Amino acid sequence: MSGIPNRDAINTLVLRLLSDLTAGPGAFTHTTTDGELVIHLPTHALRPAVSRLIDEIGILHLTTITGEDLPPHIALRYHFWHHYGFTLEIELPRDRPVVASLVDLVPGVALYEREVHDMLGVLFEGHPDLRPLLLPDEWQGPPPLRKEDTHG
Amino acid sequence: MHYPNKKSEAVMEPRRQIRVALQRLLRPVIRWARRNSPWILHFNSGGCNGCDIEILATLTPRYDVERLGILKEASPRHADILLCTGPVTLQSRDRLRRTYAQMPEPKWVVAVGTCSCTGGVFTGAPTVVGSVAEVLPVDMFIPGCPCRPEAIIDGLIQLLGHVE
Amino acid sequence: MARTIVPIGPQHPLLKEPIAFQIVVEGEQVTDSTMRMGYVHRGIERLCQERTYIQNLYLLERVCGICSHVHAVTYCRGVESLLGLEVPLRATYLRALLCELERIHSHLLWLGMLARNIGLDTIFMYAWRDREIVLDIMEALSGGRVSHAINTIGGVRQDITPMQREVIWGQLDKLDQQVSRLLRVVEHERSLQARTRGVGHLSLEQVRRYCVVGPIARASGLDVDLRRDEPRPPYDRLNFDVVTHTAGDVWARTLVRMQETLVSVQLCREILRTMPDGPIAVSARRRVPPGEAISRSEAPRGELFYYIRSDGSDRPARVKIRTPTLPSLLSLQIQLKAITIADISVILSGVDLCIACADR
Repeated sequence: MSGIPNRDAINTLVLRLLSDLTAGPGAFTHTTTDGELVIHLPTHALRPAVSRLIDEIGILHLTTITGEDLPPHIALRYHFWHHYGFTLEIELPRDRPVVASLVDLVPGVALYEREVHDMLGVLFEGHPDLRPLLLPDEWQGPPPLRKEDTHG
Repeated sequence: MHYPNKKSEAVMEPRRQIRVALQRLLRPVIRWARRNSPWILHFNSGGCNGCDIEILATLTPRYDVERLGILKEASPRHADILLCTGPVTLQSRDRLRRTYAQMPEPKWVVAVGTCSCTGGVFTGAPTVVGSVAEVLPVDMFIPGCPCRPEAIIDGLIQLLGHVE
Repeated sequence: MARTIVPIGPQHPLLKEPIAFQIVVEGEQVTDSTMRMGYVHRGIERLCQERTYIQNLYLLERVCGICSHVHAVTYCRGVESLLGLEVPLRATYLRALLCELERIHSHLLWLGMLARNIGLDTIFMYAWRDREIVLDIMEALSGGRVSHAINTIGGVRQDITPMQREVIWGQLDKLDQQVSRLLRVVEHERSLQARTRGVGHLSLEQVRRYCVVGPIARASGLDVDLRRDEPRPPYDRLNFDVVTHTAGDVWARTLVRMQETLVSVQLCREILRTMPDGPIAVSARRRVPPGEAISRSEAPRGELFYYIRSDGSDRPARVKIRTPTLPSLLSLQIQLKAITIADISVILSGVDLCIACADR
């Protein structure tokens, strides 16, 4: 157990590895109430960031992708774990939510991207199979986690 | 009733009478078998699994419904009683109807658990239809969240008391 | 050879919950499979946004019946973090006691289902009979066999009396004996080993790339257990081993789960022995200040993840749940290849599916 670094060391490492990607406009960081790092990145920086982390740290454990409809954006939070949790967050325009899929870098992301596609209508370019995961076959309405959906 | 080679009435009437007599003789036996050996089919139409594991627990040594003649069947065509758990989701609704249609008469439907009886805590969700009663004719409602094995056995015995 | 598609589910004797697999078979060999989930999708994340934090507690306990307590605990920890509450130590011990009991009952349930699906009904009956001891303890503590409603935001609602402690101690001894006996039976049962050895193999690299968690990951050699890796009270004060194996097949998963059950019994004893005195809850405000909280727990099937965002009202703005069955379902895509039809039941049982958790 003595080899496990503390949270500050991990946060510093991640920020150092992504320093050039977090330097530009549209990038900032904050923490959750428990002190977990949340790094906001411009959308085009997501794939290079994940790719660099995998190259430097090794295979990353991705827990899930949280999608949230925050008009006029849709926020996507990618929750990773490396001794401690950290999150990469991007914002997509609500009327055209398209982002590159991470499935070739992190095969474990397959079902999470399908679920976000189902629930919020986000298109993940490069995902081999974006069929509905949870919604029933006969679902006609808008994606359920979108705020315009009102049901009686 | 048509027979391939038409025999005379003198031969037909005794055969028909024998058949009717046999049916009358066997009817109480069939009724006894139906009441004392009901085979159940368990259908989870969208529940949290709590009631399902309590139904499975009735098969295990502490509750042991097999001593009452109840067997858990795998095919709807072998089952007398359909035990439904969970609220009916949109995706499950047609399959529930189809499973019920595949069961031979006479058949009964038991809604096990609060979600199955009323929709429970998931009422109002857009992908949930509601209670099983919205989809099938229910003969017995056994509430509980989850339903205790004792309550399930009690409900089944009360249902069998109404079985003819 | 002719290609056939064998549909398994949504209703099938192997599955106690509805999920559909289309398994492509050529002769006796399985070549591919697809999966359709969503039969148990109740839109819980959506429902959470329409109810208050305390109402959500009742809802989130019913995501899954088998691991209902750990869902409630993880949610409560997230909300308590947003509120800045310090939960009393005694309450964390009581929560952990029920978490470990839940782990025991879940693994015994799984062992019974695995044995039943292989055809060894006697092990099913014995495992579920011994599981009743655990359910009795949980009922004594909380009033419910399966659903406990013992958590509240800020702690727990019921305390354990000294007499209950004595009784539970005796029952834990009996449970230890029974589970050890089951483990010995499983270790020497040749037909169980013959059906599970070498079946459903996942390498360590596959487990890491597909982000698999829980006993499946530990059976392939990944040394990860959130009770030790993200230590919170009381686990930071308790000594326990994390069980791993390297074989990566269903047999290794069986051993991991059974040995974990024994570790959990030991943990229950230690929790009872070292539980501090004190209050069992602190009061919580109705309105939660804005913020984001992430809480993780080691559920019986692996890493359970909750993300809660609050906007300052008495209802959460977003609750995201990631249950451990989801990566297990993904791992099935690797396992259901190049096997025979007879292995399908073993593999589906070996991953310990909880579809209600996965669909939410």
